[in-house]
Amino acid sequence: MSDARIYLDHGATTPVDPQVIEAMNEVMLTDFGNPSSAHQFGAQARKYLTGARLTIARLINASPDEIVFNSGGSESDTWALRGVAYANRSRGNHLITTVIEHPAVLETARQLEKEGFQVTFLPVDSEGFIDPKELEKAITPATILVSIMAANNEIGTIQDLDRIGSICKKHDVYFHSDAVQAFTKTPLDVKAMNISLLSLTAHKIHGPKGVGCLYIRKGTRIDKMVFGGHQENNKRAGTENVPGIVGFGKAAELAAPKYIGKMTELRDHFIARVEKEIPDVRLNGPRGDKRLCNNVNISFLYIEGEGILMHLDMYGIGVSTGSACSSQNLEPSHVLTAIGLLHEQAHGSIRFTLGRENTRKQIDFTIDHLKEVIAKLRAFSSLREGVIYDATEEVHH
Amino acid sequence: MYIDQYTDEVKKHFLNPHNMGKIAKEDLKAGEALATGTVGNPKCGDLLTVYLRIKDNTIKEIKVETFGCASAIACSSVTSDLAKGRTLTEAKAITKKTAADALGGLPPIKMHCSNLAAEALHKAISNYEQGVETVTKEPVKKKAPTQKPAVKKTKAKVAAITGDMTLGEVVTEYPQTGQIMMQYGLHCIGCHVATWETVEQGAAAHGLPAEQINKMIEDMNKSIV
Repeated sequence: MSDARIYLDHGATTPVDPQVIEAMNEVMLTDFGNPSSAHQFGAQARKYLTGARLTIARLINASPDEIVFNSGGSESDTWALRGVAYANRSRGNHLITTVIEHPAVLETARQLEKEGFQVTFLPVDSEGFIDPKELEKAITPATILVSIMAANNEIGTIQDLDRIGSICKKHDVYFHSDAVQAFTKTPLDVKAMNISLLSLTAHKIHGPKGVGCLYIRKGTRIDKMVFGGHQENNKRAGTENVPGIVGFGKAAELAAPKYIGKMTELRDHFIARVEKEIPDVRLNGPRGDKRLCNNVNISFLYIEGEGILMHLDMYGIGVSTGSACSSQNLEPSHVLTAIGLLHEQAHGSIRFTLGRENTRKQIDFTIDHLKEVIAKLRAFSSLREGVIYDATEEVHH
Repeated sequence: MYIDQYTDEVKKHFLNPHNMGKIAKEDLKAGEALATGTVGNPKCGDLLTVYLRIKDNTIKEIKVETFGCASAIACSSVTSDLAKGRTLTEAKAITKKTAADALGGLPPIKMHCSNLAAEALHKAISNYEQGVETVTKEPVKKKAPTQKPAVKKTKAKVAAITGDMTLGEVVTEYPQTGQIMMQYGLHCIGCHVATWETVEQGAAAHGLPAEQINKMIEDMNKSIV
C-alpha cells in the first residue's frame, strides 16, 4: 500500500486546477449577479462571460460570438446532431458518423434513425482511423452532416481533421467534431479544418464538471434544443452557469502547449517500459503524433481487466478498463471491438490517461506494480500462451 | 463494477486468493485420482478449471485456475476453501449461493456470470464419477462421448426447441445447438447472465429480426434430429 494516490484516468475527468477554483470562488463570493439582469450586478457577471468566451474562441480560432456555453460534451453532441438534422431536413435526411464515437453521438444517431433519418456508421482500421475515401464515397446528395470525433477517448486516435474538413467543404455538408478529449491536447483550428460545430467540455482540461460549449460557425442552420430565455445569443436558454464558465475559461487559459510535450514524453516512456518489461501485451491505437499525448491503452493477454484495475486501485493507482466484466452492462468496449480485438483481448485492456501533474516517478511506480499484478494474475489464469481455447466447444457447459 | 460494489470479503479473497493454480499428475500418490472440470467461456470474460486430488471419496487438495474478473477470482478462492477436505457428497452441496453467502454477497449482475467455481467443482466431481477428465495432466478439450448419457437430468425431454425455452434449457439439453446460435450472433450463450433468457429474448436482444429468429430455431431443430 502506498500513501500517495496516483491518478491515471484523466480521460474520465481531471483534477480541478487550484487557480480555477480560486477564480470560481471569487465569482461566487462577489459577483453572483444574473448576466441577464439590467443592473450593475448583471453587468459584472456578463463581463466574466465575455472574458471566458474570448479565451476559448482564441484557442480554436473562432469568433467569441460563435461559442455557446452549455452543460458540456453530451449536450453539445446531442444538440449538434439533432439541431442540424432537424433544421436541414429540407436539404436531406442523411448523416455520417463513425463506429467509435462517444455514446453521446452514437446514441443520438441511433435515436435519429428511429425518427426517420438515415445514418452511415463508418468503420475504422486497426488503429482507429477512418478512411477519408470511404467518407467521400458515403456522401450522397441527401447528406447534411458528418460527425467525426477529433480524438478517441479510449485509444487516443487523432483523426485527420484537415482532410475530413476539406471533403465536407467540397461536398457542402456540415462537419461536427467531438473534441472533448482533443481540446488543448492537439491543435484545433475551426477555420483551417472547416469545422462547422465543435463540442468542448471543461472537466477534461482541469476545469469544473457540468460546463462546456458548442462552437457553432456563423450561418450554420441549427434548431434550438433548450427553450426559454434569450441567453447565449438566443441559442441556448437557461441562466448561465457563471462560476462554471469562469472556471472553464480559466482552465483553457492555463492549458499551455508545454504540457503536450511533457505528457508525450511520459506516454512514450510508459509504453516503452511496458512493452520491454511485460510479455504478451498489445498497444491499442496508433503510435507517435497521431496518438493523443496522454493516452496509453494496452491489452494484457490471458487476464481480465477488472482484476488489474482493482489491484492497482489497492496501490492507490486509478485507471480504467475496456473489459465487459467491469462495465455495468457487461458489454465490452465498442471501440476495442471496432478495431478488431477479440473479446478476450478487450477483456484484458487497461486505459491509462496521463495528466500534466503526473511525474516520471509516478509512472515508474505504476509500472513496477503493474508488472507484479500482471505476473500474479497470469500465474493462475486458465488462459496462457499456447493454449488457444476453442470457445465454441464449451458453450454448452 | 465499481470497487465499492464489492464486499470486504470479496476484496480479501480477490487480493489474496487461496488454492490457486493447478495440480499435476506427477503430484499424485498411490490410490489418488486427479479430476478436472472446466467451465466458462473466455469470450464472456470467465474461464476456470478446478483440479481435485481425490482419495477415498474425499477432496484432499483443490486448485483453481481462473481467467476472470475480481468476483470470479474471489468465488474461486472461497469455493476452494469450502470444498477442501470435504467428501464428494458434501462438496456437491456447495452451490453458487453458498459461495456468494460466504463472500457476504455479490453484485446481482455478477451472481451468474462470475460465480462459476461451484459449477466447475461439480463438473470435476461428475467427471471423476464417470471416469472422464480424470488422472490427466491437462484439461481435455474434447468431451468424451460417455459423458452425455450419464449427465443427470431431471427435466423431461421435450420434442423440439421452441422460442420460449430458456437458453439455459436449450444448451443443456441440446449442446450441439450452441454453435448454431453463435453463428446467428448470440455470443452470450456461454455467459451465465443469459441462461434465464428465452431463445427469443436472447435473439431479439442481439437485434435479430423475427424471421431470422424463426430460421435459427428451425436450424437448431434440424441439428437435433
